[in-house]
Parts: sequence; C-alpha cells; structure tokens
Amino acid sequence: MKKGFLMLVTMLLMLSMCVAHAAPSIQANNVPSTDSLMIVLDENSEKIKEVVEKLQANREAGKADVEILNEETVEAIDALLPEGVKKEDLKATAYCQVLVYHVELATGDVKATFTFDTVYKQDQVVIPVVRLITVGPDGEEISVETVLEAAVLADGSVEMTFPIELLRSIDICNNTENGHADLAVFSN
Amino acid sequence: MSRSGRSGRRRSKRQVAVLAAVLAVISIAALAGVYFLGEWLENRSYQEQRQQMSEHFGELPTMEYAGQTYVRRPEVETVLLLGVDQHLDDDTWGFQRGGQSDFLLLLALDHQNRTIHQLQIDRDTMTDVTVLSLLGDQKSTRTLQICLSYAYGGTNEERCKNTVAAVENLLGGQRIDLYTAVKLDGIGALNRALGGITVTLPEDYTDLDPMMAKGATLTLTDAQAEHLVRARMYVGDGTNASRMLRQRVFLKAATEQLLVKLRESADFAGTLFDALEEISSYTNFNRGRLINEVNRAYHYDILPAEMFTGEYKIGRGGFMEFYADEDSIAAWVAQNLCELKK
Repeated sequence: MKKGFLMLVTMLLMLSMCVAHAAPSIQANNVPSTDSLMIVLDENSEKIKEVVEKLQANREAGKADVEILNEETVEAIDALLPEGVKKEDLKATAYCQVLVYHVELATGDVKATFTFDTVYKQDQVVIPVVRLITVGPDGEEISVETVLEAAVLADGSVEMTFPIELLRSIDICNNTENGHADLAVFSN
Repeated sequence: MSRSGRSGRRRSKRQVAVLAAVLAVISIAALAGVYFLGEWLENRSYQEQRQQMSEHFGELPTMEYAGQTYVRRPEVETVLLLGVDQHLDDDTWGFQRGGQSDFLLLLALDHQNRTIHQLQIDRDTMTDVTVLSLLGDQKSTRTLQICLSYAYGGTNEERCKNTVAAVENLLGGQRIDLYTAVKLDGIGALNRALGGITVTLPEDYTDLDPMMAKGATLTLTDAQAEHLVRARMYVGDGTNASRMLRQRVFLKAATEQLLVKLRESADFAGTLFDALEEISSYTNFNRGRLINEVNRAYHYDILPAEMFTGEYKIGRGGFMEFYADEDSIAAWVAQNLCELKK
C-alpha cells in the first residue's frame, strides 16, 4: 500500500518535471466541453474553506501567504521575484480546484487564459502554483507543486502555460482516491 | 439674636436656592442618564448610520436628464430591501462567498408628497461591482450581475454595504439612506408575523405544492410563502422575471396586510421589527428608527412597483444578463428622487 502510494507520488513528480513540448494556444473557460481539451477552475470546492482558514491562521502567526506551500516551492518563487518585491509581499488572491477534461487531446503544452475576481494589473507580479495533493497512508497530505509561467493580459486576466505532463498529472491526481489538484494565485 | 435670626433666614433662603440648584442638576443628570441609557440599549444591537446634518446644508447632488439639470430632493428618503439566498443557519466564510441578493426593492419615501415609490431591481442587472480577492486584500471593479455584489465581503455588514454601493452606482451615484437584508429562506417568519398573507396565484406552482394552482386564492403557509418568493428553478418558465412577478404579488399582499395590522395596533411596527430581526442578515435600521419610519409613512400612498426597461442577454457561462436602459434609469431617478434645479 505504502509502496504503491510512493510510486504514485514519484510518478506525479516525474510527470510534472517532463520537458515541455510545442505550445498550442487554447482558451479555457468555465464550461466543460464534451469534445475538446478543457481546463476548468472550480471555485466552489470544499477545500477552499480549509485553505482560507489556513491562510488566515498563517497570517495571525505572522507568516507569509506563500508559506502555505512547500519550502522548495517558496525558494523557487523567491528566485523569480523582481528586485524590490519580497515573498512576504505576495498575497494569495485566488484559490480553486483545477480540473482537466479530455487530456488525451493535448499534443503539447497548453496556454490557457483565466479571469479571476481580482482584475490584475500588467505591472503586478502574478505567480500561479498548481498543487497536486494526495493523502499518504499515515493520513498526512502530500503536495507536489509546480510554479506556472504566467502573463497578465490587458483586460486583467491571466494567461498561464500548463506543461502537458502537468495536465496529465492533474488528471491522474483528480482520479486518485483522496487526491485533488488545486491552483493558487499569488500576487503583490 | 435678631441679626442672627435675620441672618439665619437669609442662610435659609440661600440653602433653599442651593438645594433647588442641586436638585435641578440631579434631575438633568438623571434625565440625561435615562436618555443615554435608552440610546445605548437601542443602539447596542445595530450601529445605525444616521445622515449628517451637514449633508442638508451642503450642495445637493445633481444629475442631467433630457437636457435639464435635476437636484436630489432632501425630503425623499431611500430604503433598500434585500432578500439574500443565505440560509438561516449558514456559516458564511471568506470574502467571496456571501451568497447573492436575489431580491432588491428600493423604496423612495417622499415625505413632502406623502407617497412611496417602489423600484424592483432585476438581480441580473449588469453594473459595476466591487470584487475582492480570496482574503479580501485586493479590490477590483467588474461589470457583473448586481446580485453578485452580496458575495463579496468579510461580514454580512460588508456584503450589505457592497450591494448598497452597487445600487448607488447603478442609480448614477444617488445615496441610499437605509437598508436591510433578510434571508429569503426565513421569509416564513414575516408571513407568520403578518398572520399569513393572502394572495391570488398568477401561475401554476403545483410542482412545488399541490395547493398552489393558477388562480387559487390562498392564505400562505410559511413554506408556501418561501416557494413563492424564493424558488426559481423548475418553477414556471424558470426565469428571474417570473420570480420577480411572484415577489411583487407577495409584497403587494404583504403591504396590504401590514396596513391592516397597523390599524389594529400602533405597536405592530415593533412586532414587525422583531420578525425581521429573526431573519435579518444585516440592517442599518434600529428598532426605534423602523417604528418611526413605518408610523410616519403609514398614511402615504404606496405606488405600484416599477422596473427599468432594458434587454436580456445570455452571457458568458450561460448566465442571464440584464442591461437596463440608461434613459430608463435616469428617468426614474429624475422623477422619483430629484426635482428640476431652479
């Protein structure tokens, strides 16, 4: 059981790290389609309440929002920040469950544009992170995290690039017992 | 002795004067104490936002309509009634999940002409709404259905104020004086307080309750009142426009019943406040203010509810969007809240 679980986590990690392919541009929206690849963000997931509570508890303890992530992810984010912006400046501005439909149709990395409640500005630092969360045999959550490339568009929406292997991992994770894939957006 | 006696009489008069002054001070202090205690008791549940006197002495807001300048009439008071889709036992959390305001009715109480104008605002009306990020850190503005404005805020008070701001924005910046939000699943409590509201049903709702046939005249049970006011999906044509019609039927009957109850007892306004408090999400009214307003407006003519004209569209994601005619909005504001600038 434990061995199988570790294999699954290793597979998810490996899939997340695979080399990117060519990137066709696909516009995602919130309506699942029956015949095309779709990336859907669900803001009504039960998990969001837990995350909000965790973030609020972190803030009360004087921690930065990004500290909800793994240490390695925080270091990766820190390395991406422009001069003058600190990781403590980043706030979690969106959090949702991420679902993928018809991942078998993906032939390369996917660029998808999402509109959030927050209207982001083009000079803002916006960092999306996909979290693949599974529960280990000891009941502890294990999170495999990937920082996505992203750009804020003129209308305040965010274009993100999903490596094809990450899309497959999201699909596997969502179909794993007690597994789910989330997307967090941090911005200054 | 006599000097002493005279002196004694003079001291006596002085003593009386001092005693009278002390008693006067004590009386004033006691009265003030009672007044402030009463005020504290009245305000401890709700922090009412009273208008500033300076507003009435400052420059009144103006608007342009049909090539003419109109000015807000200070004797017109606006009251926004919201029906929200929160449940009575809902544990609302976060800054984006407060629910929606499915029912919006603006009352314009014209204290000069002794009339009450009603404006029912379609929940799908598109207007600029302040939206918040996950933990409320970042504010943005989006053009959304006005009902969604209630979703954003950390408390019911903030959500209520966000909706009030969206309505003010829709009306071109006109101020809303008083507002109250009630949870629609508790509308039965209002029905109960009014002794059961009697309506003639405009459509068939037997899917919801076998008694609710088209044309039937019923004294509603609490559950039937909730069906009539709240249900939308799978009722009639499933549109919000149909639900708005049902809400108007309910409101008209409720208003008539309220007047009957007020004729029976001048204290009924207090009973009404208690019923509303039970199902309230938030209000900036306090008990005394509501009683005063109800008793003041008791003899006013209540005019039929009006609505903006406009166009319905199916928006992104398949949701209904209502675009109110700018002219329709300006006309209502000019005619009901303002007067021509002299």
